[in-house]
Amino acid sequence: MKEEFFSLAKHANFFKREKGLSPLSIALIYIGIGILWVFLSEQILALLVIDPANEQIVLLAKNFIFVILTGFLLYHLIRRSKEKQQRFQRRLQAVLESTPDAVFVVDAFLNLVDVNQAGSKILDIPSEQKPPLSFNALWEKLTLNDLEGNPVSLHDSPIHRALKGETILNQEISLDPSHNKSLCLSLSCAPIKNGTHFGAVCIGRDITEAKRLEQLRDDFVSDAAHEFKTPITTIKAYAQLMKAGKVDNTEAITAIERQSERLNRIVQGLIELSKLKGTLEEGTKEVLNLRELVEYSVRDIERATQRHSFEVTGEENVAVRVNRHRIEQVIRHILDNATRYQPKGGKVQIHVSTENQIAIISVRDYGVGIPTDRQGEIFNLYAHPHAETQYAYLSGMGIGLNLAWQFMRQQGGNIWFRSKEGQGTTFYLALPLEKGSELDLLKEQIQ
Amino acid sequence: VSDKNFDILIVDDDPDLLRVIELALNQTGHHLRFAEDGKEALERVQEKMPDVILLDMRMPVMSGWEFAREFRNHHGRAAPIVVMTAAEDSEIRAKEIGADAYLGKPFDLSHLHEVIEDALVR
Repeated sequence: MKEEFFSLAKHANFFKREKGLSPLSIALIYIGIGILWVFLSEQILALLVIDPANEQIVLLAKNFIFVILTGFLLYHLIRRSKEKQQRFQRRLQAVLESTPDAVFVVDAFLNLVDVNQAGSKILDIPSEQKPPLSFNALWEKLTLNDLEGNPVSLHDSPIHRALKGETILNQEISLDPSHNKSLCLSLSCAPIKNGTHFGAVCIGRDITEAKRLEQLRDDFVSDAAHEFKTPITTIKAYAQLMKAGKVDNTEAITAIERQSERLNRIVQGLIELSKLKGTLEEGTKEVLNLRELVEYSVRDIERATQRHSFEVTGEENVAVRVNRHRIEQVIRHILDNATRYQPKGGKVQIHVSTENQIAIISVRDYGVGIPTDRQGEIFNLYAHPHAETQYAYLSGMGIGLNLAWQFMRQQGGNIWFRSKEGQGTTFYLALPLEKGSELDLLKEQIQ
Repeated sequence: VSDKNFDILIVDDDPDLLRVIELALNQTGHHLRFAEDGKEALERVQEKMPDVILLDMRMPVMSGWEFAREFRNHHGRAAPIVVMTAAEDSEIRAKEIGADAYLGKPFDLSHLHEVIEDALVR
């Protein structure tokens, strides 16, 4: 700790403010030495054993020594001032290079005269290329767009406007440096003033990731609104029909119950998502029969759909030690997906088995399947594997599978799938079996 | 308008919603036909041109957008289209596909009647 402090303290010198000599003090030193020489030169020359009678030699010696002395003095003063200037420049350079935002300076002809590391990266300037860079070398390969995708001409760009004397703060533009990746930048530019404008300085902050997250959030909110509005439409309509006495009450209540269940599942997903911000807790674990939990969840989901039939097969007693709530949520979500992505209705087959101390639940549907090229992303948060396909309308909010994956991991289990486009998907949920559990379960059943 | 019986085609993939609209429009005397996706709706149109089409947007097989495009390409403005959508920008969406009117979900059944009558008058 102490060593670290001293090593830091050593570097602190780098930032020490140096007070240099002003031109007046240099002149005063010069005058002082001159006056001293005028008064003391005779005595000093006597000490150097030059015969004072030889007037010409004395005068010559006086002048020579004065020129040499002041010459050295000037050399020393100039060297000190130059070193100081270099140190200052190095410091500025280091600060500029270390700035995480891109900083670049252009001259009046739009040639790039200075750029820091972050700037080189953003403008895609190879490291072997050092500024100054000509206008053509730089701007011809750049495409500027506003965030709506409309091209921004160089003439209207913040850089050009700054050259004309305007100060632009935080203008968001998208930049396509080498036509292979698009970057969003928040660009601030100002003219460099020194009597007349002779250039412009720009600071660009990479906001690509922030923009991507903003877009995800917007899509999510719009999807969430859509998800809520669909069941609300039906519930509201049934309520109005009941009020007008235009519907059989049992029919209306059944439909309202079904749609409420759908709303409840959406809300549940949102609540779980908000919980994700904090730490994911394991929750209290208990020994339970996985088969019973599966059947319980199936009964629940059966009430929410008219078009699907469910079939549960496999082992009857499968004991696992898990948090009931978490695993139930995962099973429900997988069952929900099996119906959601089988929009015309059909069979959902659930099989419970054990293998090498592991319990496996498989959930097979005969629905639309997952597009092959998007299968790698389905466990990502806000994933939309069906986006831009004819099944885009089926997609939910892209939360459920991410949560399922996290919950399974947290409970010591795993989740994976096999899917074929147009033929359906099988999800597998694996959990470690509780040791000696069959005995415990039997005991529990007897009791 | 209500003196005459019209043929109304309702296109939505949610059976509960189809049923609700059926119940709401039952007593109007109009003839109701249903389709669960855009493709099925095109088949219904082939059988007989409806007087008005109530169209959902997010549907399997063929979405509302695709249906509207196909319909306009082949049949022009033979029947008015009323878009039903839960999208936030429903009005803009409706204009994009050249719909004659729109119903933002969730809607009042009284509003459903009004919009259909309006579309039929046009």
